[in-house]
Amino acid sequence: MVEVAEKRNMATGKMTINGKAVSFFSGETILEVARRSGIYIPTLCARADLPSTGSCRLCIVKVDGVRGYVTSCTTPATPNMVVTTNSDEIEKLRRGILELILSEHPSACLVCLIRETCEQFNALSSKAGRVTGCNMCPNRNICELRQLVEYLGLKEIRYPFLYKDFALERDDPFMDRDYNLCILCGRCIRICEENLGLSAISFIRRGHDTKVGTSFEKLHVDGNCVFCMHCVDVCPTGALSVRGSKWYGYPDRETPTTCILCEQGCELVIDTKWNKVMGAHPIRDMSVGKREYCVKGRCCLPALSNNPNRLKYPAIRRDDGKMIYADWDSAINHVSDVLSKYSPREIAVLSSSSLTDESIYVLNEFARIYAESNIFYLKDNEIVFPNIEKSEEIFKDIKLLYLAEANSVTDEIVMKFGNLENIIIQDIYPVPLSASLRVCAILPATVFTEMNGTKSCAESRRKPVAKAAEPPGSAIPDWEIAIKIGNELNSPDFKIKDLRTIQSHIQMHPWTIASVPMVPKDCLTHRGFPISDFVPDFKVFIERRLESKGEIHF
Amino acid sequence: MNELLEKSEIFNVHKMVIKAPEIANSVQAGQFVIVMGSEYSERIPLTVSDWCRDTGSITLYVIELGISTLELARMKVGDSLYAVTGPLGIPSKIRHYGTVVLGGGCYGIGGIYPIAKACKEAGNRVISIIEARYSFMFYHEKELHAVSDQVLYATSDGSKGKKGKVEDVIREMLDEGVKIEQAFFMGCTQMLERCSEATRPYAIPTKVALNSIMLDGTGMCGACRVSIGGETKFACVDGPEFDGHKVDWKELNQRKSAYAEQETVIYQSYSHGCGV
Repeated sequence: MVEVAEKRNMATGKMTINGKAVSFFSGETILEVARRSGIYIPTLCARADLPSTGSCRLCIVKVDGVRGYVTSCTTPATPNMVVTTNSDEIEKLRRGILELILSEHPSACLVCLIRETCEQFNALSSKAGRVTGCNMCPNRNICELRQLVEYLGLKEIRYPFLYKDFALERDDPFMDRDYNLCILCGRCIRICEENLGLSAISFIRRGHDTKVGTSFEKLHVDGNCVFCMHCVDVCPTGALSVRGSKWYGYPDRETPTTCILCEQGCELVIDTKWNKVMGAHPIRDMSVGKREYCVKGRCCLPALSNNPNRLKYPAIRRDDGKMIYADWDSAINHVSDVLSKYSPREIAVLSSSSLTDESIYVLNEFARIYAESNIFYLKDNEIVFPNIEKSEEIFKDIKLLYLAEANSVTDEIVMKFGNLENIIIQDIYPVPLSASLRVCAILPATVFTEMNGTKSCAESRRKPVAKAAEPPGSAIPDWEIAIKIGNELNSPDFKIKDLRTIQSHIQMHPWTIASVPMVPKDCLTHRGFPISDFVPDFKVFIERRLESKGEIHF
Repeated sequence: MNELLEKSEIFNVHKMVIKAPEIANSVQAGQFVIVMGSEYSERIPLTVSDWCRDTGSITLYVIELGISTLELARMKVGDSLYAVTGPLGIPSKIRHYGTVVLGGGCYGIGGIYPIAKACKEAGNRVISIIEARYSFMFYHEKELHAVSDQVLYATSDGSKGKKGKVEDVIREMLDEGVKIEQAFFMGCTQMLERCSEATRPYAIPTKVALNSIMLDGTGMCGACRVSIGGETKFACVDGPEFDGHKVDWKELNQRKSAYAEQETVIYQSYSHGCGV
């Protein structure tokens, strides 16, 4: 609000709301003044981060000297204005308005005789395709309509219910739409148009048939929509939902973190239930310029984290050539035995731009001490050495490769290593490395939703990464794996022991991180794995976009 | 095989008429089939609501409640189901009782029809009571009227019949002194429990069709086990009908929600491609 006031020259005036003297900034609406002064006015269409339109009429207030009632979200505050926000008459009018809204929104559950026992019984909404009541609605736990029914004490709806009978819209990737639940508040249209500048959706048709839709009622994937899902975030009902994340009800916890799928490093909140990543959404304030989410961070994280194919337990190759699962101690033992067979100049580490700063730092330190600083990255199939003294020259001596981004290693790259004998893999998913290569150990790592740390993003900003979920099996963070092996090899130079010492080292040697290539915004992979291999709807999105537009922007 | 001959949606309840001549030939009232939409689908037990021996078809009413039923809901006429196994379960033992009350909700509105029909044929006075949220959510009504002496309605919003549920209609009937010799209920577990509690004080013999999680449907896996009067029974081969006054409802509900996590997480990696 202060930002708003600054824009408006900070001119202030005095007015009265419910008998309380309050001051306002020039240009503020009655609703804005009331919210800032801690006075609640119910709304369904107005949000602090959206321009107001006055469409739901629930925020009506009485202004002395003005005939009738005005919508507080669109009426500017004026000097000496005297406003009443609640009275028996206003509450009665609001109940009437809400009844009319509910006469076109499936609301039988709200007036059902067994509502309470039914809601207790059904801890989670049933996963219905077409929603005809609260107990089958994905939005039940956060529904603003239900909250208003409680607030206004609405017990019955005097009007017969009219089901709009719109077709379900679920042919788009990631998104389900059921406009039979829509109350036409227009929040989705406003956030898309005013805050994001996309205008992918608008009100279409006329009169009673009015609904939200795209031009010519095309699929969203064929229109302007970028699937940022901000329309879902602002929808007060269950009309809009993210298909993959709609049924978990209340999250057990919400964790603010940073998405590190690309260099942008968007702040987001991860919803956790059953110790798993269930959804990701923006921080609550969605004012203009506050967020620019892409479909990757908004929709792909749950499937990327919970894919059943994730590497779960360490595996080592036995003397007879068979791969077997092992506990961490045996695996680390085995790996360090293999490593100690080679001299540092015969070992090289492939690190990954997709790792957190801590993991990058520890792998770097590991390579510095045990692999003669033979560390490289792969960016668009190009080999990148952060250490300018190194070049592909070193590859001819390499006999052992330590891979932290194994899926990026193509046959062409393998060919550059003439004397390769052994490979150690530390990764999140299985890698189809060709059978001729001798992989002696596979170590399961966590994805960034399962670990604490930091990530350096574009504009040299280092952002926090927080653990939101438990890793599958016995997977541990990349930095922890590297520390375990480093300790086992027991060089006196290898001094880092925990997250805290790593972070103080990073502060002392920031160039270690600064020299690492960044993941570009339009990257379609994570840690060398195509995102679409793990998120089927992302594949649909990519293919359809390429077909209809010839290019993809995030 | 298992071709979908007819498909329509009545507010999240999907009517599926499937070509299955062998099942249609031998199925009896109260029996069910287990279907799989595709090779990797969950196996879902579904009551056979109607059948036609001439055309070799069976009618199922499926509620969309998860990924596997979503898959069925998105099938189109001409598509084939991966598997339809049946008829399974013990057919309803129907004789002349006198006055029989049949209560149905959700898929049970269609599901009670063959039992109503058999009861009528056995010379009973058949009163069918069906519940829904709204008046427009009822289906299979014409058929039900044809085999019932009386069809009574209950709706959550009061838009048709009594405002309330099946048990509210039953309580009203009992208060009015209507004598009920046999009750039969089909619908969600919560509804079955509520209805059974309504008939218990009057000691009305009450049968409920249980819908526990099933895999093979032939008594091998034990996934569907339920406790009836302290005794373990398999809903697939000992049921699906049991005495509603003896069911351990708490245990049944716990067992039914055992896979809530997996049923929710699976949506993350589901895709039905671009529908157009």
